Amino acid sequence: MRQVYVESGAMIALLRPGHRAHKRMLGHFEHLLDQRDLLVTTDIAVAEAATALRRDPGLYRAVAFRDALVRSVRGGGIRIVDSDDQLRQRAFAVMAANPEVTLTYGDCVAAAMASSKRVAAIVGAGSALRGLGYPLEPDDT
Amino acid sequence: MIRKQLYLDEDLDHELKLLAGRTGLSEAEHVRRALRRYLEHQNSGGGFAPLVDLARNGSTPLRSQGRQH
Repeated sequence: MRQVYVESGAMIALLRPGHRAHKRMLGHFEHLLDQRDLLVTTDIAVAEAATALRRDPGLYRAVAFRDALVRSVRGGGIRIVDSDDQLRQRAFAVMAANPEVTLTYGDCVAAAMASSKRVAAIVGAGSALRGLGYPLEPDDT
Repeated sequence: MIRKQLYLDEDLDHELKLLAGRTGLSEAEHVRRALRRYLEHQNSGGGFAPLVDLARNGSTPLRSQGRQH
């Protein structure tokens, strides 16, 4: 059993049926569930995902996301870390250390979280972090 | 209760102290709650199954429930 960080792009791909990576992401989350891995994310990633889902597909999906998230937190399957000064400093340090890549702040938060030895990998839908050597899952996103 | 001693990573200890300060509950109480959830998770089909179920099955638009947004 591992602990993996889930960035906003993964949540969006998982819950937006029309997303190009939806099927791959669903398959990967089913795999994580089978392995009984634990998910960890941040309030920042949740905010980004909720905002994106509110736009597309719409409010019903954003509300359903909230409900599923609440049940998953209560079930102990996902932990949401609140951003604090320490995390912000680490995230901005990642951004400053990689001037050649236009990382989003969410990418930087994911990288900062992945620097913890307790986080085995990042589940994400973008490629910027993989290019910097971070362990991004699934392999083909 | 049974007394246990355990080692924590520094970042985990930091988060636990912040949480205890914010909630007014003891660090030990948070550890007990977290452990209970962890054990429930291990003994169930997976704690984040609701997210996967939502991804598999979708959900009903609020419009069809009589709400317009």
